[in-house]
Amino acid sequence: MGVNPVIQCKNLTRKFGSKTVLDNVSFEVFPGIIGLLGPNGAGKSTLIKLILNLDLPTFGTIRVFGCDQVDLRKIGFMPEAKAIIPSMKGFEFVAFAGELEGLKRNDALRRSHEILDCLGMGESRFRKLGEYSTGMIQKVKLAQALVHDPELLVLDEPTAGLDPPARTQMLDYLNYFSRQQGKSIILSTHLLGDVETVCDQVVVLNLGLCLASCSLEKLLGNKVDLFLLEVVGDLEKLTAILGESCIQVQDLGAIKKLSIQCGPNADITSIAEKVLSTGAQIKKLIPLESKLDDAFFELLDQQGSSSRLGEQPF
Amino acid sequence: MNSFLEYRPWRGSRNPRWVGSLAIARESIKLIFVRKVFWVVFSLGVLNFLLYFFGQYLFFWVADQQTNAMVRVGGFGRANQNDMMQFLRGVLKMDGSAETFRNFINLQSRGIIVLLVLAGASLLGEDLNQGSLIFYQSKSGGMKNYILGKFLAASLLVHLFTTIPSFFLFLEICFIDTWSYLFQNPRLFFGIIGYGLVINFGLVSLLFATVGIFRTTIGLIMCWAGIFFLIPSLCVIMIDRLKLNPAFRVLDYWYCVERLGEKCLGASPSGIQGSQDIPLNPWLAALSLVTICALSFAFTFKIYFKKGVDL
Repeated sequence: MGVNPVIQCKNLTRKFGSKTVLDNVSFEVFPGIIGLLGPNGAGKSTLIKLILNLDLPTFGTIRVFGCDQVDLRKIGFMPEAKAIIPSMKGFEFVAFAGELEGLKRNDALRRSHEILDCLGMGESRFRKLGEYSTGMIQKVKLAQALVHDPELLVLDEPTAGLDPPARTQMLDYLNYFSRQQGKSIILSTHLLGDVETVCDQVVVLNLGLCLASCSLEKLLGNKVDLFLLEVVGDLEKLTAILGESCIQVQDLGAIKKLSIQCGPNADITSIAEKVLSTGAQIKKLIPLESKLDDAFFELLDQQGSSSRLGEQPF
Repeated sequence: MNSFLEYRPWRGSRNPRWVGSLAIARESIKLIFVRKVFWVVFSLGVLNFLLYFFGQYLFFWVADQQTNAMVRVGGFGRANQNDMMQFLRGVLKMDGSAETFRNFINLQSRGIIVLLVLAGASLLGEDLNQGSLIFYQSKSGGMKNYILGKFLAASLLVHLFTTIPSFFLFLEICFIDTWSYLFQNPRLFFGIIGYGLVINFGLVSLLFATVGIFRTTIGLIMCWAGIFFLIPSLCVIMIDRLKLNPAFRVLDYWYCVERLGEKCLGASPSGIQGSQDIPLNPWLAALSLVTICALSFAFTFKIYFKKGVDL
């Protein structure tokens, strides 16, 4: 890629007694938004702890910005746990976080107001944290991670518990801070849709093993998109027209419902345009499952079958 | 998205990492100040302080006014006014002696025990219960700043109740008597600091360790009631009833703290009510205190610095 990696792991292993939580994990990730994916117990939290130097590897090395000894002032961490002080006001909490990162009291207060304003907190920043909704708490947690202007943001489930508009807004923030402010972001989440929306690179972990570490584009490869189309119109004509550009169009048997399988570069808008050109009316056109879901479960399946065969996965 | 335009990178100078501990101490103190229990205990402490403050003043004033005349004492006959005041000053110990400060600090420290046991859970336990510890751990100062900040906050509370008002009493005597009192009693001056530090380390280290185990106010009350009431009672039974070696009083942690305080101030041993009046060797008391402090700090570090914390 021609740029220095943000994180380099080499043979990273973490054992708790006889249990191996991370097993010989090696990968490199570069500036951008990096999705850290894996089911529960995959080792994501342990990897985050190692990045933040809250834990030490049993074997192997982890380098952040090329350094063995992590400088936490370069990292902003947004934990999954609430981790707030309910009696503090929003702006006080963020300023407090700034002071802990070395900002002077007045600078921390000014910076706290700036960041909370950027995140659309408005007057609510003067309310106590104990009165905040989940969405507001997530924003305050993001603000406290950003207050000292770190180069790397480590976000643990930033969209957990958010309603769809708040989730979209949070993802917009991540896009903004990465694309326009040049921050690298490690996004640990269970929500594959979030990763597909914002991430450039992914690291997939399962049972302590690194199943994949590559760009999202490469992981998705030539995976197909699957859509459900519900129309009012001539189904036969529609099937014929869509069949020209889609891989497979299947009548689901139900009245006026089609399942459409498209190629890797499918565009929902172009499908809709084609449907409308036949004179049919669209009642519903939704993606049935994301390509990342497909790729993710395929990786897990591959690991399962290779483990059963006694092979070394990846 | 227009508001995003307001985001600006930070290019200012930064404080050294340890300064973060002062912010933690400040916010922790605020947490205690919003508790009603603090103001109740603080009011009782102020009342006790005023009792000593005006008590001392009154005795010095009376000493200036008195003569050797015989005065009538109720229906008990007549007594020499001078002797009577000497007697009262001796009994109440409000004469600026080492015993004055020992009694005052002992009383105040009982207040601080009540305060720490009732507010200690909000000072430390809630961070453990609510998972807020990760907030501090992920900051550049890490747990060192956290421990130092919380220690400073709890220490400030201890000194607010003990050392600081004691200095006011000390200064009061300088004002109402003569400034030579200050130079004639350097041991008292440093003894106040010493006793304050003994209580500080004795109680705060214990608070850290017990909050680490019990985390809730009820748990702390049970534990501290055991340490400060049950064990001392057992010691009295062991020594007085069972006639065991008086050195067993070393198990009474608070007695050891008070014994060391007496040693710092140079006060005569106060003994335990209803018990054999054989004071514990100060070295044994010091050993007890150092052992408990060391164990408490070791336990605290084990809890707060353990690797592999929950995120």
